[in-house]
Amino acid sequence: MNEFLSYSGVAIAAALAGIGSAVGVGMVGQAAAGVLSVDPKKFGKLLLLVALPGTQGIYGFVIAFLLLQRITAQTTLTSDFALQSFLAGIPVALTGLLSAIHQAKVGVSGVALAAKQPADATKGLILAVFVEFYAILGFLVSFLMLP
Amino acid sequence: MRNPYLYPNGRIGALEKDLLPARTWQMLLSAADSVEASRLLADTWYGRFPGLSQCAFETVFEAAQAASEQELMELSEDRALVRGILHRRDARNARYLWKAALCGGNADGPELEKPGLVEHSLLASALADEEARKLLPAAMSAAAEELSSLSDPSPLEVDRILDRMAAGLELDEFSSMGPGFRRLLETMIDSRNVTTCIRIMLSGSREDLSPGVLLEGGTVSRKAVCGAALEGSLPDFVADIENLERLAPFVKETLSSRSFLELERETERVIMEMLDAGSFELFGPAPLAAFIFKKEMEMNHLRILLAAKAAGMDRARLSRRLPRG
Repeated sequence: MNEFLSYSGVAIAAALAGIGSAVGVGMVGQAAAGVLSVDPKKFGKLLLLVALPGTQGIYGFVIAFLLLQRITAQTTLTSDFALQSFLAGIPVALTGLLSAIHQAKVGVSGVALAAKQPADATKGLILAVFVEFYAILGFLVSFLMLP
Repeated sequence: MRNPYLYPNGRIGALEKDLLPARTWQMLLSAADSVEASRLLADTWYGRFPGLSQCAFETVFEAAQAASEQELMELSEDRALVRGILHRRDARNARYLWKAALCGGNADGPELEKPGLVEHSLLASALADEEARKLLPAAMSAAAEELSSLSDPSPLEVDRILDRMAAGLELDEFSSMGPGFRRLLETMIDSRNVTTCIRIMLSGSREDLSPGVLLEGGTVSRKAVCGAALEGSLPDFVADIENLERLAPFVKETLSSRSFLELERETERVIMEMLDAGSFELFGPAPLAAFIFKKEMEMNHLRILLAAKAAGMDRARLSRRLPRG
């Protein structure tokens, strides 16, 4: 049971944050592909907007990796350790999942902005970065909660 | 999680740069004549369509319209949008055919666009054949019925019925594009009703002004618009219609000067602003529908500009009518 709980923390950190990133990158990627089908020169401007929701998946992966290291370093898994491992995975998992999707929505708007008003493309990117802040907070909380 | 509008809206967003920018409109307005205007247009998106160098503008605009509609139909997974685009084409064909049949016209028959969802033959027979009318969409069928019941229709009467049909079809098909787009259609109907009232009042035939001659589906009732026009309080009434508030002084001006130039310009400016706002609703079909309306409006403005240039109209007078530049 302790083993199951410990590895569950690893799994949800990597999986939920990864799902959020996959959905987010997919959404912005579709919108960017639409713009690039007409104007391929905008690739550079759109690349960061597409990549931005992908960072949540990386945060989830890092927490999962650190958790895994700690779990494998234990000779016996106590119930306290297992619970702490499980709970440590939750902040990055939930903030990653939700912030990546919402960041993607801002990103899609940023893509539209870049298509219609190329001079304002950076503003769309900055707005999307604001959403990133909350994913970073989730990552930090998970990091601080590591057993 | 799948949203079918992300790619199409991205593409349409990029295609919007093909709409003529203010600078090009400035240059077009300053062009000495229609030949110079056609040379300027050759450097824009319209340059890809044959006929511009021969100043065959109508051929160019028809091809441009067909290309825009085709692009949207290929992109859109929204059946209402595709149906709406095709039915608008049917409405235009119905107008050409039925007006020619009732008011006379080209002996070889009117020039028609490619059929949308209704074959030309069905449209042509709808005025005389009740069975054919049953196969048409409700708004078209009602218009054909009304037209066939007229004994000696005037072109104005025919136009009013066809305008009602076109507005009814647009409202039926495009109102599902979202609340913003529905509001746009309602505002367009409101503005047309106000203009119709003013035209009738200025023509001196107040007795012709009844709710029946106005379009249904606006934000204010036809009866209320009629009542305000008959009471002589149309400018105050317009000042209370959402989105049309700023037209009030122009309505007043039109009633006194009998010139529709500024009123039409400001009305179109309001519609253009609403279309611009609608094109930012990124997760639904509104930007796609807004794009086709924008293109159509641009082409109508180009038609006015080119006709004015051919007639030698000066820039100042043209600027009073066109909301561009």
